[in-house]
Amino acid sequence: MTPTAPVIEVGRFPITEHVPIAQGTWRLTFSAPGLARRIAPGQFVMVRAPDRTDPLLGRAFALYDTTLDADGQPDGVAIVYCSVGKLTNLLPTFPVGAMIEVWGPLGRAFPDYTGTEHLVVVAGGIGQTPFVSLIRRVLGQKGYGGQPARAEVGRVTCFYGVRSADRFAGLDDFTAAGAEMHLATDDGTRGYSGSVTELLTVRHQAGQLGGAIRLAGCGPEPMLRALAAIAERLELPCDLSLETPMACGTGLCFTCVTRVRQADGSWDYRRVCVEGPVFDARQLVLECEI
Amino acid sequence: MPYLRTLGTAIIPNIAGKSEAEFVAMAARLDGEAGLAGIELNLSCPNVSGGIDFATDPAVTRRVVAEVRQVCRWPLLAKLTPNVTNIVPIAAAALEAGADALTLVNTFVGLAVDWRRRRPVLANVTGGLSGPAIKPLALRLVWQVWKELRAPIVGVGGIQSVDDAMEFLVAGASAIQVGTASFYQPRAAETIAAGLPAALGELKAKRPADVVGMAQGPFRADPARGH
Repeated sequence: MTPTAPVIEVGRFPITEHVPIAQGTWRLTFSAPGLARRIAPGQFVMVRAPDRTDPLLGRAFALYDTTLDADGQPDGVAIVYCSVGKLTNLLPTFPVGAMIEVWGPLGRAFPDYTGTEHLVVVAGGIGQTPFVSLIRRVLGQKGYGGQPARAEVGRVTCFYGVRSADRFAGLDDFTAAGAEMHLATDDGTRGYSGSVTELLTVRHQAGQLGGAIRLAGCGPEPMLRALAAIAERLELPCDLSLETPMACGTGLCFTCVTRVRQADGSWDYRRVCVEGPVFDARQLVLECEI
Repeated sequence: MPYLRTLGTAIIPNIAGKSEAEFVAMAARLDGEAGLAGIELNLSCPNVSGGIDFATDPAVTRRVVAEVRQVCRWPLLAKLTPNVTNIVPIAAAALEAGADALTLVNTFVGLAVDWRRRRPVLANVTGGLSGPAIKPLALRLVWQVWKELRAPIVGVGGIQSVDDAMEFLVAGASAIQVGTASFYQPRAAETIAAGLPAALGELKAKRPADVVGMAQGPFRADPARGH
């Protein structure tokens, strides 16, 4: 752990777009040029409702994508959220023009995938949020974090699973980003009937993914456990982005700790907000092994 | 520690042990570190002490502070729990055993319950309540200890603005801490520090030390009101 003082933006920013994109799911864009220029796929922001003490603490949201001004410079940040708790049930009442408190960019971005031929991303539920920007980045469609657009991989396949078809969010964005999509629903209302990791296994066994692949995943913990097990069995490198609840996002509160393997084989707690949220799956202790 | 030393600010590690021996071992180790401004003994955190609240008992508080005092040269701050009937004898015991200052106060034990699921929200059932909700409670304890003991107090509990900080100072604190507000206002501490000189100036004061306990008298005439 070698902390360097990260430069984060803290401020109130106006909402520029706020639209429902699936059942209980919204895309919220706010104007914040400084933040938009620096944030990279895999990083996140903390969002808080201003001038109130309930909810008191911020909530973490992954970068969904940046928006660009007329000159092609990043000027806004989009997040996608599902209404499940206090803040996410309050946010839909915020109209365009309303201010939200935001601090970021926070956490570490997805690694550079240069040298990987085929990146396979696996998204479960609202865990899809970091992947549209990641796909755009690795296919060279768009630059992030002050970097020019540059292709890192030749091909991206996206496995995306939700409970029911009306929960699929932003499918057009994924397709526009250039990913080949494979969809799964728990209830069979669209795509494969079953879990997204089962679908991944089926497609892999059918030889549809080729050999030289690398995995990246985000979603509920049982899905991450299943994905990490698949990666281990197939001996594939795999990065997981964790969605651990956080109180501060800046490393102060130690609410978000997760178990990370150490060089000597033991494990220790590490803060997801500053040392993650993206981890090599082999580092994580996802099962209860205590 | 090497990283903290690069920041050019006073460093006060806070240590918490599950036993007296753990406190002593940590304090002895920190005694060997260079350039600390002090060590805070977390005698009372319901979140991290494993359920042992050293600072609910004056005799235990006295023993832990005295043992640490013997192995550590740095100024000692004893952080006390508010979850007691009377905090004053515990604060007095810490000072008599060698604490240089008191940090008042730690978090209040609270409960969040989900009535629909008919169970507590936290796996641990209870948890520490901090933030703006506890400011009046913390202020009262700072006031009470300053009134009775006139000891150096580091006030903490719900401070999120310059006004909050000034309230603690005039109630009897010599310094303040900003905890929870730093979680939701990353610049809270520096904003408060930047705003303090102007607020002190309103009381014709230059340093926090000039206003400590001012609200406890002697009565000061307010020239603006012609008293």
